[in-house]
Formats: sequence, C-alpha cells, structure tokens
Amino acid sequence: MTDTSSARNIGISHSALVSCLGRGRASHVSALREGKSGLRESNHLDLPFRCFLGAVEDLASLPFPKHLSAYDNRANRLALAALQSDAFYDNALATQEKWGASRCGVVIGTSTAGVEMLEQVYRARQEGAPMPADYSMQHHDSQQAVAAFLQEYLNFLGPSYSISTACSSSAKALVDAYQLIEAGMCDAVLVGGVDSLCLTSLNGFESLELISRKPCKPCDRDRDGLSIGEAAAFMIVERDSKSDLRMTGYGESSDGTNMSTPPEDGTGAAAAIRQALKQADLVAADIDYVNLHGTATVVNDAAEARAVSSAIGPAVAASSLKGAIGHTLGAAGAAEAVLCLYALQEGIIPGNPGLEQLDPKALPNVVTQCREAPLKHVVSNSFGFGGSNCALVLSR
Amino acid sequence: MQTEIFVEAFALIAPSSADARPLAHSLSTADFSTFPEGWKPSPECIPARARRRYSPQTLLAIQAAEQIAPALAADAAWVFGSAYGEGETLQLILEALRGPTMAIRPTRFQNSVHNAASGQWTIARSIKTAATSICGAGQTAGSSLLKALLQVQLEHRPVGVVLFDAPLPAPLDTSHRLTCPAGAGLALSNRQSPRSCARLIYSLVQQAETPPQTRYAKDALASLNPVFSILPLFEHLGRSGTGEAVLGLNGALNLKLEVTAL
Repeated sequence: MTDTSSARNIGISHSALVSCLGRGRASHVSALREGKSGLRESNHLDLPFRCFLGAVEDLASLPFPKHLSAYDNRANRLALAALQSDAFYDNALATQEKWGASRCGVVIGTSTAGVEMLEQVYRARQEGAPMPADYSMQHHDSQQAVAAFLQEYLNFLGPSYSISTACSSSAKALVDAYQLIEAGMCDAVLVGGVDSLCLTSLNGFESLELISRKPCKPCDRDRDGLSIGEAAAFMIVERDSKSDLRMTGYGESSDGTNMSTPPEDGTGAAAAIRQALKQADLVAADIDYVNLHGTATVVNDAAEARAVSSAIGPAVAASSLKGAIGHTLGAAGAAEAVLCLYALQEGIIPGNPGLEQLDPKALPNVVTQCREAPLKHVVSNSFGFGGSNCALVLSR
Repeated sequence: MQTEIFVEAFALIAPSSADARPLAHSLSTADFSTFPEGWKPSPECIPARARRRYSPQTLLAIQAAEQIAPALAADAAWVFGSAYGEGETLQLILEALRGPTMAIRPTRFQNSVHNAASGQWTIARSIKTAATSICGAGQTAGSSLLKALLQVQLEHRPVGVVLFDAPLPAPLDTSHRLTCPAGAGLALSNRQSPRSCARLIYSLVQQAETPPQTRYAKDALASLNPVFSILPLFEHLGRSGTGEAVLGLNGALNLKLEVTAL
C-alpha cells in the first residue's frame, strides 16, 4: 500500500466526461438529478441482435485535427469530444505550460482502444487478402493508440502508457497517475479512460449470454444482463492542486479464480475495498456513498453486494450508474469516477436508473432516485475480466 | 527522492543456438537464433493437455512468470506488459465477425482481453494480489518496468514484471510486424535478500536509450519484438556489472537505471 503522506497534496484539478448522457458536466449533473438514462435501442453496428446501447451521437461530424488524421477513429473521436468539453483542452494546455511538457504524463485505461477501426478494415477485405498497406495498428488497435493521440495532441511529453485490464482499466489508471506524481516522475498527469462501441465487445458479451434485450436493470430482481455504452472521461491530476477533490485511497486485488465470473462471496472485491479504506485512513462509517460496478448481470451484482456488505456494511447508500450510461467497459472506472466527483461537488447521491424491484440479495439501501446529501467520501468500484478488482476512495 | 530497489531474479525466454542456460545470464556468449520448428511455450503450471486452451501469448507470459515467481514473496504484485497483447485471439474473433452470425466463442472472447495472460497467471497460482497489464506500444518494456518500480517504491512490496509478445497470424502480421516470440521476467523487491543480484536506482532523463552491447541483443532487437528492449538492462545484470542502462519510454524522457552488482 502506498505511503500517502505526500499524496494528500495531489488533487484532481480538472475533469471532463462524454457519454450517451451528453458532453460535459452540466448535461451529466442534470441527468443524474433527473435519473435519466441515455440507453437507446439500436442496431446501427450491423449487430445480428437487438439491444440497448449507450451511444454518443454526432461523433462523425466532429472536426478531427488534420495533422493527426492518422489517429482518426471512433475512440479518438470520443477522446476529442471530451477534450472539447468543459474547457478541458484549455485547462490541459495551461497545465502543460505551468509544469513544462516533460513533467506532464498521460495514463489511459482502455479495453479495446480503436479496435472498431480494425474491425471495419478487416471485414472490408476480400477473403484471403492482406491488410491494406495504409492500415496502422499504432494509430488504431494498439491499446496505446488513444494515449499516443493525446500525447501528440496536447504535447504532454512525460511518460505515456496505457492500462488494459478490461473493465477495471481506467480506475487503475488513476492509481498510476497518483503514483507517477508521488514518486516525483511527473507534476501532472492526464488520466482517464476511453472505449468505443465495437463489434468485438458486443458480440463477445452476447456469446456469454450477458447482453440484456432491455435497458439494463442493475440491482433489480429481474435483471438479465448488460447494456453496453461508450465514453471518454479525463482528469488532470496534479501536485499542489487548488482543487478540493482528491483520490484519498485505492485498493487493487485479483480474484485468482475465473476469467469472467467473480467468486460468489465477492472476496476479491471486498479485499480491494478494504485496502482502499485503509489507505484513505477511513473506517466504513466514513463512507457516504458507494458507486457500484453494478453491471446488472445476475452473478456480478450479487457478488458485489456481498463484497460491499462485508467491507463497508449493508447500510451504506449505493447505486449503479450503468442504467444511465451503460457499461462503458475500459472507460467505466474513469467515467464513473468523474460522475462521483460531480456527486461530491453537487452534494447528491445519484439514483439507480432501471431499478424497479430491488433484488432481496442486493444491498438494502440502493438509492432509487437522486437525493441531496452532503458527501465527503465515496467509494467507486470497478471489476474486470481476469478477476481484476479496483476500488477508489474519492473525497472532497 | 532516490529509492534503492533490488533485483531478485531475471529470466529470458527467447531463441538461442547455444545451449546456454539460463539465457538471461549468458547474453555475452549466446547467439540469437530461431526457435526449433514446432516450438511452443510450455509453462509447467499448465498441464500439457490443457495448453491448447491458452493462446501462445498467454503461455509465453506464464512461462516467464513462473521462472521468476520463486524469487517473490506471496504479497508480490504483478505487472504484465505486452505491445501486441492477445493478437492471435483477436484475429480469430475478427474472422468470426466477417460471418453473418458474428458468433464468437465465449472462452475466446474472455481470453481476448489484454490482461488475459495476467488473469490466467493469477488463476493458475491462486494469486490474490494486484495484477496489472500495460501497453506502451514500442516502449512497453520501459513503461512496464517504470510501473513496477513505482509499485515497489511506493507500496513497499515486491513486484514481478512479465514482458511478452509473439508474432501474429496472417493477415495481421503485415500490420503488426515482429518475427520472433519472446518473454522476459524480472523479480524486484524493496528489500535486499541473499538472492539479490543487483541494486537499482531509477530516474527519468533526457538521455538516449542505451544501445545493445552484445551481438545477441543486437540480433534480437532486429526481430522487432518489443520485449527485447529490456536487454540493455539484462546485459548489465548478466555480467554482474555496475553501470547504467537507459530504456525507452513514450515522450521526451527515458528511464535511467543505475545498476550496482551485489
């Protein structure tokens, strides 16, 4: 566990989020307050089945920087849309000028990066034909493709790499951002997560029989699977931050049991949450709200309820935001961390869109509708394939 | 802030024409070659009959991990690094997506994630600690090592680093060029032990990468496998020398390692 004595001066100075709920803080706060869902029925990706998706509209019309056109794909367009939200681009440039380019790093969490472009190119090939000579992995399906685009676009010339641990990727990226600064390797880090809708993820989860035919219903007794979304979420973490928003603790663990199913008792997830509380020097009673990973699959929600009950207690207020923005996979950790920052600033506990009848095995205090509440410390959970668990404590 | 970090073990899985074992310790005398026809990674912790369920990339990573695991305590965290990840599995999925049903095998999908290797390693050994999976494109070796060094320093615990990449099947091989599979492992610790072979101090510098010194490393790097970017460090470790190795990172800075033999 990290010695956080110096980390407490590291703060989250700026943030930006693009999801199916909109672009930037105002649209997301409004949606959280109203309990809106951005999930819509769609088959625009040639899917052989119908489902509800959390798609970001109008990405194709976004002007992409000409000098970086080699990076033009849906994931990087999501990233660009986030940079253009809430003056994040201007704030990033100001950060770079303040600390110097080589003191500013980039850590991005992603599961599939620009694989959606690879899918298009691969499917368009004639049978047996080679890949087109102008196709570049470096710019599209490399897990580093989004971080590379951001590094070039923003001229953040400190270390840049990507975390790819499936659906915990961008929560874990935040850990790296803090560690790079705490160890003195960077003064500021652009950190976040980006994942776009793609055929690989959608058909993959369908093969596991985990895609719901309805908008997903986390924590509901009738839940039957995921709705997939897409998002880009960024934060600028820097030392000597004037912001009162902090990541005060994190915990990481492995289930070590199964690639895609957590143990029923949620022991791995509980271990990550306990580590996060310990590092934040908090006790369970200090936690005002838990943002659940809450994917709306039968097994995962039940295991997470046991994990939270065990590590924090069953009475804590909790909700899943997957019913609002869908499961944004590798972007989920960062996207939901930014939503938690909004909740901390607004003093609200978000509701749980999609919930109609609470599962008796769910946490009893799943919040159905958004309510006002002064928040000081919240926990955000992210769990991924490979038994990869990460819990963050975000504080104000 | 300068933190001393100790190297407990290092290992390399790569072709060599000499029967020099372990290869990582004998780079100065080994010759880079190609693996024998039909060579496949063969980690001991995965029974031979079960290996067909794993990609070559995952088997390679697990074999590298198990070579350094004896040097690490149970509380060690794990950092896996790969530039190309599970490309072989991805290609099979892409082929399935060309069909009308787009039907993907469920196990294939769950093993297509970049962290399939780290996940399967934690499952094979019932590991409950943190494991991460890093891509830094051509600078994956330096990036993964940087992450591991941060963890050792700040979390005060040992960390196992595993690097792996393997050639991909056609047609992805034309856009994802590398010609030779390779895996590497490095066991790091915050405490010196009787098995410690070197002490490292790390920093970020505006300094060029250290070029390879041995003929083995020069030939290996020509195979374009990013794993071999670790070899300038292994060259120091293998000859029990003192000096510095600079490994590449993305951006304007590189990772400098001051190596002191113990």
